[in-house]
Amino acid sequence: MKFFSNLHPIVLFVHFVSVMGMVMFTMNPLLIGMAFLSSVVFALSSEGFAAIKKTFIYAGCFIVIVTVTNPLFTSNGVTELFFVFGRAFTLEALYYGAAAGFMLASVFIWCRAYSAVITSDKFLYLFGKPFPKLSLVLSMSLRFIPLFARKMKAVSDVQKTMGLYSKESLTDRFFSGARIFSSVLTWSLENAVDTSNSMKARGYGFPARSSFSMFRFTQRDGVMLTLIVCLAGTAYMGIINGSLDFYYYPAVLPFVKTHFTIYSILSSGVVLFLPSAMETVEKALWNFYTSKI
Amino acid sequence: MSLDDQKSSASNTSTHTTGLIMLALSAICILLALKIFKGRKRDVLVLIALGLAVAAFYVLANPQSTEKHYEKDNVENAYGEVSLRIDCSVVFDHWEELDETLKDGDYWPKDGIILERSEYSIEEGDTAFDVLLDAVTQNKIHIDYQGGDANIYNTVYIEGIQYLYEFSCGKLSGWTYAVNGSFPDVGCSSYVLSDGDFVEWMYTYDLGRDVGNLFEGEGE
Repeated sequence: MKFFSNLHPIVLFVHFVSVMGMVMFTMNPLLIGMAFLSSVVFALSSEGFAAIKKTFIYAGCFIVIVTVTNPLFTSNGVTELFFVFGRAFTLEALYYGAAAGFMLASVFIWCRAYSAVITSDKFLYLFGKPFPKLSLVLSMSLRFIPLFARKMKAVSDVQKTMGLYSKESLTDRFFSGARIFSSVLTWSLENAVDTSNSMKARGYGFPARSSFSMFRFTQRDGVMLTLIVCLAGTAYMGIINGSLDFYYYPAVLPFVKTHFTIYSILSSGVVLFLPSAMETVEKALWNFYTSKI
Repeated sequence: MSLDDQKSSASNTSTHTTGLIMLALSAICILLALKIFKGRKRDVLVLIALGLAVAAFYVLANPQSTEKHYEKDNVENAYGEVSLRIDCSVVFDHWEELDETLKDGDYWPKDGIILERSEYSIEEGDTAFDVLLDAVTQNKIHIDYQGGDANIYNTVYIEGIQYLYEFSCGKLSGWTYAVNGSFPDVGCSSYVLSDGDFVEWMYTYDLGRDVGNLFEGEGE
Protein backbone atom coordinates (compact mmCIF):
# COMPACT_ATOMS: atom_id res chain seq x y z
CA MET A 1 0.00 0.00 0.00
CA LYS A 2 2.98 2.29 0.43
CA PHE A 3 4.57 1.91 -2.94
CA PHE A 4 6.06 5.37 -3.34
CA SER A 5 7.45 5.72 0.18
CA ASN A 6 9.05 2.27 -0.11
CA LEU A 7 11.27 3.44 -2.94
CA HIS A 8 14.97 3.94 -2.29
CA PRO A 9 15.68 7.23 -0.43
CA ILE A 10 17.77 8.55 -3.31
CA VAL A 11 14.78 8.24 -5.66
CA LEU A 12 12.55 10.01 -3.15
CA PHE A 13 15.09 12.76 -2.65
CA VAL A 14 15.60 13.34 -6.37
CA HIS A 15 11.84 13.54 -6.80
CA PHE A 16 11.58 15.98 -3.91
CA VAL A 17 14.30 18.25 -5.28
CA SER A 18 12.89 18.23 -8.81
CA VAL A 19 9.37 18.99 -7.62
CA MET A 20 10.56 21.84 -5.39
CA GLY A 21 12.61 23.35 -8.21
CA MET A 22 9.76 23.04 -10.66
CA VAL A 23 7.39 24.81 -8.31
CA MET A 24 9.79 27.54 -7.26
CA PHE A 25 11.48 28.51 -10.53
CA THR A 26 8.42 29.28 -12.60
CA MET A 27 5.38 31.54 -12.44
CA ASN A 28 3.54 29.63 -15.14
CA PRO A 29 -0.07 29.37 -13.90
CA LEU A 30 -0.68 25.95 -15.44
CA LEU A 31 2.41 24.49 -13.74
CA ILE A 32 1.55 26.14 -10.43
CA GLY A 33 -2.03 24.90 -10.65
CA MET A 34 -0.82 21.36 -11.31
CA ALA A 35 1.70 21.60 -8.48
CA PHE A 36 -0.98 22.73 -6.07
CA LEU A 37 -3.48 20.08 -7.15
CA SER A 38 -0.88 17.32 -7.03
CA SER A 39 0.32 18.42 -3.59
CA VAL A 40 -3.25 18.24 -2.29
CA VAL A 41 -3.88 14.82 -3.87
CA PHE A 42 -0.56 13.45 -2.60
CA ALA A 43 -1.11 14.76 0.93
CA LEU A 44 -4.62 13.28 0.97
CA SER A 45 -3.53 9.91 -0.38
CA SER A 46 -0.54 9.58 1.95
CA GLU A 47 -1.96 10.95 5.21
CA GLY A 48 -5.72 11.21 4.92
CA PHE A 49 -7.93 14.25 5.33
CA ALA A 50 -8.12 14.32 9.14
CA ALA A 51 -4.34 14.48 9.61
CA ILE A 52 -3.81 17.18 7.01
CA LYS A 53 -6.88 19.37 7.58
CA LYS A 54 -5.01 22.07 9.48
CA THR A 55 -2.31 22.32 6.82
CA PHE A 56 -5.02 22.97 4.23
CA ILE A 57 -6.61 25.67 6.38
CA TYR A 58 -3.26 27.44 6.85
CA ALA A 59 -2.46 27.13 3.16
CA GLY A 60 -5.87 28.58 2.25
CA CYS A 61 -5.40 31.58 4.56
CA PHE A 62 -1.93 32.07 3.12
CA ILE A 63 -3.22 32.10 -0.45
CA VAL A 64 -5.88 34.69 0.38
CA ILE A 65 -3.43 36.95 2.23
CA VAL A 66 -0.74 36.87 -0.48
CA THR A 67 -3.30 37.41 -3.25
CA VAL A 68 -4.84 40.48 -1.64
CA THR A 69 -1.55 41.95 -0.43
CA ASN A 70 0.31 41.97 -3.75
CA PRO A 71 -1.88 44.58 -5.51
CA LEU A 72 -1.42 46.89 -2.52
CA PHE A 73 2.31 47.02 -3.21
CA THR A 74 2.40 47.10 -6.98
CA SER A 75 0.10 48.98 -9.32
CA ASN A 76 1.41 47.58 -12.58
CA GLY A 77 -1.22 46.21 -14.94
CA VAL A 78 -3.61 47.49 -17.59
CA THR A 79 -6.89 46.51 -15.88
CA GLU A 80 -7.48 48.98 -13.08
CA LEU A 81 -10.22 47.71 -10.78
CA PHE A 82 -10.30 50.55 -8.26
CA PHE A 83 -7.93 52.85 -6.38
CA VAL A 84 -6.64 52.46 -2.82
CA PHE A 85 -4.14 54.74 -1.09
CA GLY A 86 -4.40 56.79 -4.28
CA ARG A 87 -2.88 54.02 -6.40
CA ALA A 88 -4.40 51.55 -8.81
CA PHE A 89 -5.47 48.11 -7.60
CA THR A 90 -5.09 46.05 -10.76
CA LEU A 91 -6.39 42.70 -11.91
CA GLU A 92 -2.93 41.68 -13.17
CA ALA A 93 -1.37 42.28 -9.77
CA LEU A 94 -4.17 40.20 -8.27
CA TYR A 95 -3.39 37.36 -10.71
CA TYR A 96 0.30 37.57 -9.88
CA GLY A 97 -0.48 37.51 -6.17
CA ALA A 98 -2.71 34.47 -6.64
CA ALA A 99 0.04 32.68 -8.57
CA ALA A 100 2.59 33.48 -5.86
CA GLY A 101 0.15 32.41 -3.15
CA PHE A 102 -0.61 29.09 -4.80
CA MET A 103 3.10 28.53 -5.41
CA LEU A 104 3.95 29.08 -1.74
CA ALA A 105 0.98 26.99 -0.60
CA SER A 106 1.99 24.08 -2.80
CA VAL A 107 5.58 24.24 -1.54
CA PHE A 108 4.16 24.20 1.98
CA ILE A 109 1.89 21.19 1.36
CA TRP A 110 4.56 19.29 -0.60
CA CYS A 111 7.02 19.74 2.28
CA ARG A 112 4.39 18.58 4.75
CA ALA A 113 3.61 15.49 2.70
CA TYR A 114 7.29 14.72 2.16
CA SER A 115 8.08 14.86 5.86
CA ALA A 116 5.96 11.69 6.18
CA VAL A 117 7.75 10.02 3.26
CA ILE A 118 11.40 11.05 3.71
CA THR A 119 11.79 10.27 7.39
CA SER A 120 14.87 11.34 9.29
CA ASP A 121 16.46 7.88 9.20
CA LYS A 122 16.27 7.97 5.39
CA PHE A 123 17.75 11.44 5.42
CA LEU A 124 20.64 10.40 7.65
CA TYR A 125 21.16 7.30 5.49
CA LEU A 126 21.54 9.53 2.44
CA PHE A 127 23.67 12.34 3.81
CA GLY A 128 25.03 11.09 7.15
CA LYS A 129 28.29 9.88 5.61
CA PRO A 130 29.29 12.73 3.29
CA PHE A 131 27.91 15.65 5.35
CA PRO A 132 27.41 14.47 8.94
CA LYS A 133 26.98 17.90 10.54
CA LEU A 134 24.77 19.39 7.86
CA SER A 135 22.50 16.36 7.66
CA LEU A 136 22.10 16.24 11.45
CA VAL A 137 21.13 19.90 11.50
CA LEU A 138 18.75 19.40 8.57
CA SER A 139 17.09 16.31 10.00
CA MET A 140 16.71 18.04 13.35
CA SER A 141 15.13 21.08 11.77
CA LEU A 142 12.81 18.91 9.66
CA ARG A 143 11.76 17.12 12.83
CA PHE A 144 11.48 20.37 14.72
CA ILE A 145 7.94 21.49 13.86
CA PRO A 146 6.09 18.19 14.50
CA LEU A 147 8.11 17.74 17.69
CA PHE A 148 7.31 21.27 18.75
CA ALA A 149 3.60 20.77 18.13
CA ARG A 150 3.58 17.52 20.12
CA LYS A 151 5.40 19.14 23.04
CA MET A 152 3.08 22.13 23.03
CA LYS A 153 0.07 19.82 23.12
CA ALA A 154 1.61 17.90 26.02
CA VAL A 155 2.37 21.06 28.02
CA SER A 156 -1.06 22.58 27.47
CA ASP A 157 -2.74 19.28 28.42
CA VAL A 158 -0.81 19.22 31.68
CA GLN A 159 -1.69 22.86 32.36
CA LYS A 160 -5.35 22.12 31.75
CA THR A 161 -5.26 19.10 34.05
CA MET A 162 -3.86 21.35 36.76
CA GLY A 163 -6.81 23.68 36.22
CA LEU A 164 -4.92 26.50 34.51
CA TYR A 165 -6.00 28.32 31.36
CA SER A 166 -9.17 26.33 30.92
CA LYS A 167 -11.36 29.40 30.44
CA GLU A 168 -13.70 29.67 27.49
CA SER A 169 -12.47 33.11 26.49
CA LEU A 170 -10.61 33.08 23.18
CA THR A 171 -8.36 35.93 24.24
CA ASP A 172 -7.32 34.12 27.41
CA ARG A 173 -6.64 30.97 25.46
CA PHE A 174 -4.55 32.96 22.99
CA PHE A 175 -2.42 34.45 25.76
CA SER A 176 -1.98 31.12 27.51
CA GLY A 177 -0.95 29.65 24.15
CA ALA A 178 1.64 32.40 23.78
CA ARG A 179 3.03 31.63 27.24
CA ILE A 180 3.27 27.93 26.50
CA PHE A 181 4.89 28.75 23.17
CA SER A 182 7.65 30.75 24.81
CA SER A 183 8.38 28.05 27.39
CA VAL A 184 8.44 25.30 24.75
CA LEU A 185 10.77 27.41 22.63
CA THR A 186 13.26 27.53 25.50
CA TRP A 187 12.89 23.80 25.97
CA SER A 188 13.49 23.13 22.28
CA LEU A 189 16.77 25.07 22.24
CA GLU A 190 18.04 22.98 25.14
CA ASN A 191 16.72 19.85 23.47
CA ALA A 192 18.68 20.59 20.29
CA VAL A 193 21.93 20.78 22.26
CA ASP A 194 21.05 17.56 24.09
CA THR A 195 20.30 15.77 20.82
CA SER A 196 23.60 16.71 19.23
CA ASN A 197 25.50 15.73 22.38
CA SER A 198 23.84 12.34 22.55
CA MET A 199 24.43 11.75 18.84
CA LYS A 200 28.10 12.52 19.43
CA ALA A 201 28.20 10.13 22.38
CA ARG A 202 26.85 7.35 20.13
CA GLY A 203 29.63 7.86 17.63
CA TYR A 204 27.68 9.76 14.98
CA GLY A 205 29.96 10.94 12.21
CA PHE A 206 32.55 8.24 12.93
CA PRO A 207 33.57 6.73 9.57
CA ALA A 208 32.93 3.07 10.47
CA ARG A 209 29.44 3.75 11.79
CA SER A 210 26.59 2.03 9.93
CA SER A 211 23.08 3.36 9.35
CA PHE A 212 20.01 2.55 11.40
CA SER A 213 18.06 1.35 8.37
CA MET A 214 19.52 -0.23 5.27
CA PHE A 215 18.03 0.31 1.84
CA ARG A 216 18.81 -1.67 -1.28
CA PHE A 217 18.77 -0.03 -4.67
CA THR A 218 16.68 -2.43 -6.77
CA GLN A 219 15.85 -2.54 -10.45
CA ARG A 220 12.50 -0.89 -9.73
CA ASP A 221 14.30 2.05 -8.09
CA GLY A 222 16.57 2.35 -11.09
CA VAL A 223 13.61 2.52 -13.48
CA MET A 224 11.84 5.13 -11.36
CA LEU A 225 14.98 7.24 -10.97
CA THR A 226 15.61 7.27 -14.73
CA LEU A 227 11.99 8.19 -15.39
CA ILE A 228 12.02 11.04 -12.89
CA VAL A 229 15.36 12.41 -14.06
CA CYS A 230 14.34 12.35 -17.74
CA LEU A 231 10.93 13.95 -17.20
CA ALA A 232 12.17 16.54 -14.73
CA GLY A 233 15.04 17.32 -17.13
CA THR A 234 12.53 18.07 -19.89
CA ALA A 235 10.57 20.34 -17.55
CA TYR A 236 13.73 22.17 -16.46
CA MET A 237 14.79 22.65 -20.08
CA GLY A 238 11.43 24.30 -20.64
CA ILE A 239 12.03 26.58 -17.67
CA ILE A 240 15.57 27.45 -18.75
CA ASN A 241 14.94 28.06 -22.47
CA GLY A 242 11.94 30.24 -21.69
CA SER A 243 9.16 28.18 -23.22
CA LEU A 244 7.40 28.13 -19.85
CA ASP A 245 7.77 31.90 -19.37
CA PHE A 246 4.59 33.66 -18.45
CA TYR A 247 4.08 37.39 -18.15
CA TYR A 248 1.60 39.02 -15.82
CA TYR A 249 2.64 42.66 -16.34
CA PRO A 250 1.43 44.86 -17.86
CA ALA A 251 -1.02 42.47 -19.51
CA VAL A 252 -1.39 38.72 -19.10
CA LEU A 253 0.01 36.93 -22.14
CA PRO A 254 -1.03 33.49 -23.38
CA PHE A 255 1.45 30.81 -22.50
CA VAL A 256 1.47 28.11 -25.17
CA LYS A 257 4.14 29.25 -27.58
CA THR A 258 6.15 26.30 -28.85
CA HIS A 259 5.86 22.54 -29.00
CA PHE A 260 8.41 22.42 -26.23
CA THR A 261 5.98 24.23 -23.93
CA ILE A 262 3.56 21.35 -24.28
CA TYR A 263 6.30 18.73 -23.74
CA SER A 264 7.62 20.37 -20.60
CA ILE A 265 4.13 20.97 -19.18
CA LEU A 266 3.21 17.33 -19.80
CA SER A 267 6.42 15.92 -18.35
CA SER A 268 6.24 18.12 -15.27
CA GLY A 269 2.64 16.99 -14.82
CA VAL A 270 3.78 13.36 -14.85
CA VAL A 271 6.51 14.06 -12.28
CA LEU A 272 4.10 15.96 -10.03
CA PHE A 273 1.32 13.39 -10.12
CA LEU A 274 3.66 10.37 -10.01
CA PRO A 275 3.47 9.64 -6.25
CA SER A 276 -0.29 9.88 -5.97
CA ALA A 277 -0.80 7.92 -9.21
CA MET A 278 1.49 5.17 -7.93
CA GLU A 279 -0.39 4.97 -4.65
CA THR A 280 -3.71 4.80 -6.50
CA VAL A 281 -2.54 2.05 -8.86
CA GLU A 282 -1.14 0.11 -5.93
CA LYS A 283 -4.40 0.46 -4.04
CA ALA A 284 -6.40 -0.72 -7.06
CA LEU A 285 -4.09 -3.74 -7.49
CA TRP A 286 -4.41 -4.57 -3.81
CA ASN A 287 -8.21 -4.43 -4.03
CA PHE A 288 -8.13 -6.56 -7.15
CA TYR A 289 -5.96 -9.26 -5.53
CA THR A 290 -7.94 -9.29 -2.27
CA SER A 291 -11.19 -9.62 -4.22
CA LYS A 292 -9.87 -12.88 -5.67
CA ILE A 293 -9.17 -14.48 -2.30
CA MET B 1 -21.11 52.17 24.06
CA SER B 2 -18.13 51.93 21.79
CA LEU B 3 -20.17 50.06 19.21
CA ASP B 4 -22.41 53.10 18.83
CA ASP B 5 -19.33 55.27 18.39
CA GLN B 6 -18.37 53.10 15.49
CA LYS B 7 -21.79 53.65 13.91
CA SER B 8 -21.73 57.40 14.34
CA SER B 9 -18.23 57.66 12.88
CA ALA B 10 -19.57 55.74 9.91
CA SER B 11 -22.23 58.34 9.15
CA ASN B 12 -19.58 61.08 9.11
CA THR B 13 -17.48 59.53 6.37
CA SER B 14 -17.92 60.84 2.91
CA THR B 15 -18.89 57.97 0.68
CA HIS B 16 -22.11 56.02 0.79
CA THR B 17 -20.41 52.63 0.47
CA THR B 18 -18.08 53.37 3.35
CA GLY B 19 -21.07 53.95 5.59
CA LEU B 20 -22.80 50.80 4.45
CA ILE B 21 -19.76 48.60 4.99
CA MET B 22 -19.07 50.08 8.41
CA LEU B 23 -22.71 49.61 9.41
CA ALA B 24 -22.55 45.98 8.36
CA LEU B 25 -19.29 45.58 10.28
CA SER B 26 -20.70 47.00 13.49
CA ALA B 27 -23.86 44.93 13.07
CA ILE B 28 -21.71 41.82 12.77
CA CYS B 29 -19.74 42.92 15.84
CA ILE B 30 -22.92 43.36 17.88
CA LEU B 31 -24.40 40.06 16.75
CA LEU B 32 -21.18 38.19 17.52
CA ALA B 33 -20.87 39.90 20.87
CA LEU B 34 -24.42 39.02 21.83
CA LYS B 35 -24.53 35.48 20.56
CA ILE B 36 -21.15 33.86 20.89
CA PHE B 37 -19.35 35.82 23.55
CA LYS B 38 -21.99 35.85 26.24
CA GLY B 39 -20.29 36.85 29.46
CA ARG B 40 -16.82 37.12 27.98
CA LYS B 41 -15.87 40.77 28.25
CA ARG B 42 -12.32 40.53 27.03
CA ASP B 43 -13.27 38.84 23.77
CA VAL B 44 -15.82 41.53 23.01
CA LEU B 45 -13.21 44.23 23.64
CA VAL B 46 -10.70 42.54 21.37
CA LEU B 47 -13.36 42.18 18.68
CA ILE B 48 -14.27 45.85 18.91
CA ALA B 49 -10.60 46.79 18.66
CA LEU B 50 -10.26 44.58 15.57
CA GLY B 51 -13.36 46.13 14.04
CA LEU B 52 -12.01 49.61 14.65
CA ALA B 53 -8.67 48.61 13.13
CA VAL B 54 -10.43 47.36 10.00
CA ALA B 55 -12.49 50.55 9.82
CA ALA B 56 -9.38 52.68 10.24
CA PHE B 57 -7.65 50.74 7.47
CA TYR B 58 -10.68 51.28 5.24
CA VAL B 59 -10.71 55.01 5.87
CA LEU B 60 -6.94 55.26 5.34
CA ALA B 61 -7.02 53.19 2.16
CA ASN B 62 -9.81 55.43 0.80
CA PRO B 63 -11.01 53.10 -1.97
CA GLN B 64 -12.27 54.87 -5.07
CA SER B 65 -13.81 53.55 -8.24
CA THR B 66 -11.74 54.04 -11.38
CA GLU B 67 -14.21 56.59 -12.78
CA LYS B 68 -14.13 58.64 -9.61
CA HIS B 69 -10.33 58.59 -9.46
CA TYR B 70 -10.05 60.01 -12.98
CA GLU B 71 -12.66 62.72 -12.44
CA LYS B 72 -11.18 66.13 -13.05
CA ASP B 73 -11.01 68.19 -9.89
CA ASN B 74 -10.48 71.92 -10.11
CA VAL B 75 -7.49 73.60 -8.55
CA GLU B 76 -8.90 76.09 -6.09
CA ASN B 77 -6.18 78.50 -5.05
CA ALA B 78 -4.36 78.68 -8.34
CA TYR B 79 -0.88 80.04 -7.74
CA GLY B 80 0.50 79.72 -11.20
CA GLU B 81 0.82 77.62 -14.31
CA VAL B 82 3.55 75.10 -15.07
CA SER B 83 3.95 73.01 -18.17
CA LEU B 84 4.76 69.31 -18.20
CA ARG B 85 5.85 66.79 -20.76
CA ILE B 86 6.48 63.03 -20.53
CA ASP B 87 8.96 61.57 -22.98
CA CYS B 88 10.06 57.96 -23.45
CA SER B 89 11.54 58.24 -26.95
CA VAL B 90 14.80 56.66 -25.69
CA VAL B 91 13.02 53.31 -25.61
CA PHE B 92 12.65 53.30 -29.39
CA ASP B 93 16.43 53.71 -29.79
CA HIS B 94 17.08 50.66 -27.61
CA TRP B 95 14.10 48.52 -28.61
CA GLU B 96 16.11 45.27 -28.51
CA GLU B 97 16.80 45.71 -24.78
CA LEU B 98 13.17 46.33 -23.89
CA ASP B 99 11.35 43.68 -21.85
CA GLU B 100 9.70 41.11 -24.09
CA THR B 101 6.43 41.62 -22.27
CA LEU B 102 6.32 45.32 -23.24
CA LYS B 103 7.10 44.79 -26.94
CA ASP B 104 3.76 43.24 -27.86
CA GLY B 105 1.38 45.88 -26.52
CA ASP B 106 0.99 49.27 -28.18
CA TYR B 107 1.57 51.21 -24.99
CA TRP B 108 3.26 54.40 -26.20
CA PRO B 109 2.89 56.66 -29.23
CA LYS B 110 5.48 56.03 -31.93
CA ASP B 111 7.32 59.31 -31.29
CA GLY B 112 7.71 58.40 -27.61
CA ILE B 113 5.87 61.45 -26.27
CA ILE B 114 3.49 59.95 -23.72
CA LEU B 115 2.19 63.39 -22.80
CA GLU B 116 2.56 66.47 -25.02
CA ARG B 117 3.70 69.67 -23.36
CA SER B 118 0.68 71.35 -21.79
CA GLU B 119 -0.17 73.68 -18.94
CA TYR B 120 -1.36 72.75 -15.45
CA SER B 121 -2.43 75.02 -12.61
CA ILE B 122 -0.55 74.62 -9.36
CA GLU B 123 -1.22 75.66 -5.81
CA GLU B 124 1.40 77.28 -3.63
CA GLY B 125 3.96 74.73 -2.48
CA ASP B 126 3.14 72.15 -5.13
CA THR B 127 6.07 69.95 -6.03
CA ALA B 128 7.18 68.30 -9.25
CA PHE B 129 5.49 65.13 -8.01
CA ASP B 130 2.15 66.86 -7.37
CA VAL B 131 1.96 68.25 -10.87
CA LEU B 132 2.98 64.91 -12.40
CA LEU B 133 0.23 63.16 -10.43
CA ASP B 134 -2.24 65.85 -11.57
CA ALA B 135 -1.22 65.45 -15.18
CA VAL B 136 -1.36 61.65 -15.30
CA THR B 137 -4.70 61.60 -13.50
CA GLN B 138 -6.22 64.11 -15.92
CA ASN B 139 -4.92 62.21 -18.93
CA LYS B 140 -5.64 58.70 -17.59
CA ILE B 141 -2.00 57.66 -17.76
CA HIS B 142 -0.85 54.75 -15.61
CA ILE B 143 1.64 55.52 -12.84
CA ASP B 144 3.37 53.54 -10.12
CA TYR B 145 5.51 55.13 -7.45
CA GLN B 146 7.16 54.42 -4.14
CA GLY B 147 5.86 56.73 -1.45
CA GLY B 148 8.24 58.99 0.44
CA ASP B 149 7.70 56.99 3.63
CA ALA B 150 8.96 53.81 1.95
CA ASN B 151 12.57 54.82 1.27
CA ILE B 152 15.47 56.37 3.14
CA TYR B 153 15.44 59.61 1.09
CA ASN B 154 11.94 60.60 2.32
CA THR B 155 10.99 61.48 -1.20
CA VAL B 156 8.70 59.90 -3.75
CA TYR B 157 10.35 57.68 -6.34
CA ILE B 158 8.62 57.24 -9.69
CA GLU B 159 8.87 53.53 -10.51
CA GLY B 160 6.90 53.45 -13.73
CA ILE B 161 4.81 55.55 -16.07
CA GLN B 162 2.49 53.98 -18.66
CA TYR B 163 3.72 50.43 -17.81
CA LEU B 164 7.33 51.45 -18.50
CA TYR B 165 9.22 50.73 -15.30
CA GLU B 166 12.72 51.19 -13.98
CA PHE B 167 15.00 48.49 -15.46
CA SER B 168 12.43 47.77 -18.20
CA CYS B 169 14.99 48.74 -20.84
CA GLY B 170 18.43 47.78 -19.62
CA LYS B 171 20.18 47.85 -16.25
CA LEU B 172 20.57 51.64 -16.07
CA SER B 173 17.08 52.61 -17.19
CA GLY B 174 14.45 54.53 -15.26
CA TRP B 175 12.54 57.78 -14.99
CA THR B 176 14.23 61.10 -14.36
CA TYR B 177 13.07 64.70 -14.51
CA ALA B 178 14.35 68.11 -15.46
CA VAL B 179 12.97 71.53 -14.59
CA ASN B 180 13.64 74.25 -17.16
CA GLY B 181 16.29 72.05 -18.73
CA SER B 182 18.41 71.38 -15.62
CA PHE B 183 18.33 68.27 -13.50
CA PRO B 184 17.54 68.93 -9.80
CA ASP B 185 19.59 67.11 -7.18
CA VAL B 186 16.52 66.26 -5.08
CA GLY B 187 13.61 63.85 -5.41
CA CYS B 188 10.51 65.02 -7.23
CA SER B 189 8.40 65.45 -4.09
CA SER B 190 11.02 67.76 -2.57
CA TYR B 191 11.26 70.15 -5.51
CA VAL B 192 8.84 73.04 -5.07
CA LEU B 193 7.76 74.58 -8.38
CA SER B 194 7.24 78.22 -9.20
CA ASP B 195 5.08 79.90 -11.82
CA GLY B 196 6.07 79.26 -15.43
CA ASP B 197 8.33 76.28 -14.75
CA PHE B 198 8.64 73.59 -17.40
CA VAL B 199 8.86 70.08 -15.96
CA GLU B 200 10.07 67.37 -18.28
CA TRP B 201 9.87 63.69 -17.33
CA MET B 202 12.22 61.54 -19.36
CA TYR B 203 12.92 57.86 -19.55
CA THR B 204 16.63 57.24 -19.54
CA TYR B 205 18.59 54.30 -20.85
CA ASP B 206 21.87 55.27 -19.25
CA LEU B 207 21.33 56.81 -15.77
CA GLY B 208 20.38 60.15 -17.32
CA ARG B 209 23.50 60.59 -19.48
CA ASP B 210 21.59 60.03 -22.73
CA VAL B 211 18.96 62.65 -21.87
CA GLY B 212 21.49 65.29 -20.91
CA ASN B 213 22.15 64.80 -17.21
CA LEU B 214 25.94 64.66 -17.21
CA PHE B 215 27.84 64.11 -14.01
CA GLU B 216 30.59 66.44 -12.92
CA GLY B 217 33.65 66.03 -15.09
CA GLU B 218 31.80 64.23 -17.84
CA GLY B 219 31.44 65.61 -21.36
CA GLU B 220 31.83 69.37 -21.70
